[in-house]
Amino acid sequence: MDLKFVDLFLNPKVWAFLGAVIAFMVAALGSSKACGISGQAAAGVVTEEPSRFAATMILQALPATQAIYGFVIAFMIVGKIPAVETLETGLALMATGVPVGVVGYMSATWQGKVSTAGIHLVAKRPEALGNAIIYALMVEMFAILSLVVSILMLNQI
Amino acid sequence: MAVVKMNKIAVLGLAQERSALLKALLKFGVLEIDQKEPDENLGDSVYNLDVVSDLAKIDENISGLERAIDILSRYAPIKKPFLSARRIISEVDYDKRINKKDEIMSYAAQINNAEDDLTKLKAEENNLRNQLDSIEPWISLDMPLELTDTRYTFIQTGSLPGRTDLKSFEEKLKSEFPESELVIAKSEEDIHYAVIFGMKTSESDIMELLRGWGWNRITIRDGQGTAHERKEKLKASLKRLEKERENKKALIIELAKKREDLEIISDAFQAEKARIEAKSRLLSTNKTFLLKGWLPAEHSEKVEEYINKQFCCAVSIEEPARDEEFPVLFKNGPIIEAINPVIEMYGMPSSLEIDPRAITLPFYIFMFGLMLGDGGYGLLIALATGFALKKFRMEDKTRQFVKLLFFSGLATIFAGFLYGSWFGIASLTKTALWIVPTEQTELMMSYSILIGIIHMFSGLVMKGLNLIRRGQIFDAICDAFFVIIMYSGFIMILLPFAPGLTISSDSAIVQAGYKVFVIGVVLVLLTGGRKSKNIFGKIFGGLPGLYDIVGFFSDCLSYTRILALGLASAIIGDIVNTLATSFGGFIVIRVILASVILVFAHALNIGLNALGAYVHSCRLQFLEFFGKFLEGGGVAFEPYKAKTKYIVVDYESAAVLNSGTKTGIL
Repeated sequence: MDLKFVDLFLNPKVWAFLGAVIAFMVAALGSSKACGISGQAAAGVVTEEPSRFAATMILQALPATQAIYGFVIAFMIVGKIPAVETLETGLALMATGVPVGVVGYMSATWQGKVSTAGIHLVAKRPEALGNAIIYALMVEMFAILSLVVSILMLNQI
Repeated sequence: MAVVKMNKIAVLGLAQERSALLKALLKFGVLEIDQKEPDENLGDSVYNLDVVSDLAKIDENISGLERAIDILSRYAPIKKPFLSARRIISEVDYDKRINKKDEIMSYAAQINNAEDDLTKLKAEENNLRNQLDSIEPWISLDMPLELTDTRYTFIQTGSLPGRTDLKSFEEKLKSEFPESELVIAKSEEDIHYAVIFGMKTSESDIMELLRGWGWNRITIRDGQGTAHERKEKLKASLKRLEKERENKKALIIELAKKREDLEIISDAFQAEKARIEAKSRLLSTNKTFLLKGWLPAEHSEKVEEYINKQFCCAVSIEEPARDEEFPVLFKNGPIIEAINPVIEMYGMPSSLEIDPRAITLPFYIFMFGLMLGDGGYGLLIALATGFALKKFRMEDKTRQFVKLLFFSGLATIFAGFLYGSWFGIASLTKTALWIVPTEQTELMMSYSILIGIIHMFSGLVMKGLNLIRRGQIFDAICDAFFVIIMYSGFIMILLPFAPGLTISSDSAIVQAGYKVFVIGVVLVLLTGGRKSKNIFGKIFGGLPGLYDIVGFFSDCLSYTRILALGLASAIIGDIVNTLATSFGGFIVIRVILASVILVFAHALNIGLNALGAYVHSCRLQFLEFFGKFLEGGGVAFEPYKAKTKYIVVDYESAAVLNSGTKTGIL
């Protein structure tokens, strides 16, 4: 078969795959970064206060959810790939990956910063764990909305 | 359920009875003592007792005991169950230990000294080991290492660099100083340990030569005899140290059976600390004291009677004024207490408000259930927490939290029936009683918002009830009822946009919505500015009320998280099942692989999504719900009692309080 480079851009399945890549990769990059920075802070706190392990671990885990949302959407997109026939569906599937991926990235990195601040808060006042979690959650809201948007879009394809 | 009614108490008594009274009240543990500052006009005659040095002494005792307990937990660890509560001990037992306080304190001192000794022994051992290392190279020499000269010769130990050509060096040495001798004790890759013997007359010349070849003098400190003799001595010392350490350890382990006594005395000091702190909160003169504070109304009579009978004090108890705030203590029942952790995280409601717990609990667990959304997961949570509740005795706060999880688990089972979702098994969705969110996502989104609207309207109703309770019936109508009318109209107008529903924009309900909305807006506009003094404020004061619609709209959308989190756990559950069953190969391997994946991945999914459901359900209560009505700002009731760590003393005199109504605060 005589394949040209340009065929890649006309292949609808390639576009759909790209959607799954964006959904998972971008969101997971954000979560990795966020869990990374908050994990460092957590380790620092636990050197001084070993009893704070559970609390700091919960805070560190919070920004992991964006990657999970990205994973859910990527999985749903991949599930639809066998049925992709037209370039239009392929591009649409790519678009569905964008909200959860890009918003997830931002939401995760910022949630990571808030979690880190929360870990410092818990270091001094362990009883404030609930408050620290709530602050971090405010940032999560946008990732949740982006998940909803991506799911709503997927349902139209 | 409500908050416990509090009465104000004031006790005026004689200074000599102060300690006895505080001791007796500590046992009750139902009285909050206010911090009272003396009036400056009264000068020096009225003051707060200075207790700083007393407290410092007690803290020192506590830290000594705590250190001993900590040492015991390291040398003789005991396994504590995962969930445990402070031991309950009888007053008789407690007093028995208090009488032996000095003896028990001496155990603590012995333990602490033993550990100090262990540290010292360790340092000594390190020192000996260093010495052992330093004589190791000289072990082949059979001369006393401390020997540095004889009558005519000098002797020096030292080292030459490993690269030295020993043969040519010795030739050189022999040719220049024939009467000298170099003995190599030990050769290593980069160093030769050696001894030089030479005539004292040519010492400086020999040393000159040696330095040129990189000689480095080594002095061997301490001890006597040849390296071999020294080594034997050091080994004997090490053995002795080892034995001594064993003895000290044995002593600590022997004392470990006093652990309970140490814990009780540590807590006894906590009680004393509480008492002394309380003492400084009172107003005192040289002959009298004045105590002011709060106590639950139901105990008022008995406490008053008790004080009057036992002490020569004047007691007065009065109810707070109608609009006076008092410390908040929740009246707990076996079910309602489950929501306490959520409320306490937000902050205490004011004592003048309706207790929000009864309405929050069902909303909280229902939303938790919908967000976790899998009956199988709910079953696991309910079983685990139910077992823990049955099996373990827990501290109040822990038990309340476990109970919250238990009820949330039950609600999740309920959600499982509604969604037909059981461990993410796809074929079971046919059993759904209500809706399958993964298939009717848009409809479920509308339902999520509907749940939110019911939630927020309940909040507005609560606001109205709070206003009515304060007698502001007109305010209740304007700020709650009119607002509900306006929001209802707003929702009806937006119905055609609701995802998953097919309502055309000219259906009857939407048309009615326009009318309701206009009526609501007019009412809110007319009444919003009623509290403003000037005419300008009266006209435009209602505008912020209109702006609240925007907030209300975003609050509605916030409830879509019920859908989103439910979907996330359902889809991940489904993914787990797909993955687990996707392997080929030999049946046994397939079964093993599948079960490992199923167990771990589902456990991870439960963990992550239960945490998500817990915190997001909290958030919906805090912002969307409490924001509508709860003023908060209440101060938690902090009774005067010992902040103990290990034990709860079952005081006999406190039984007087429980003879009547049972409140569960004791």
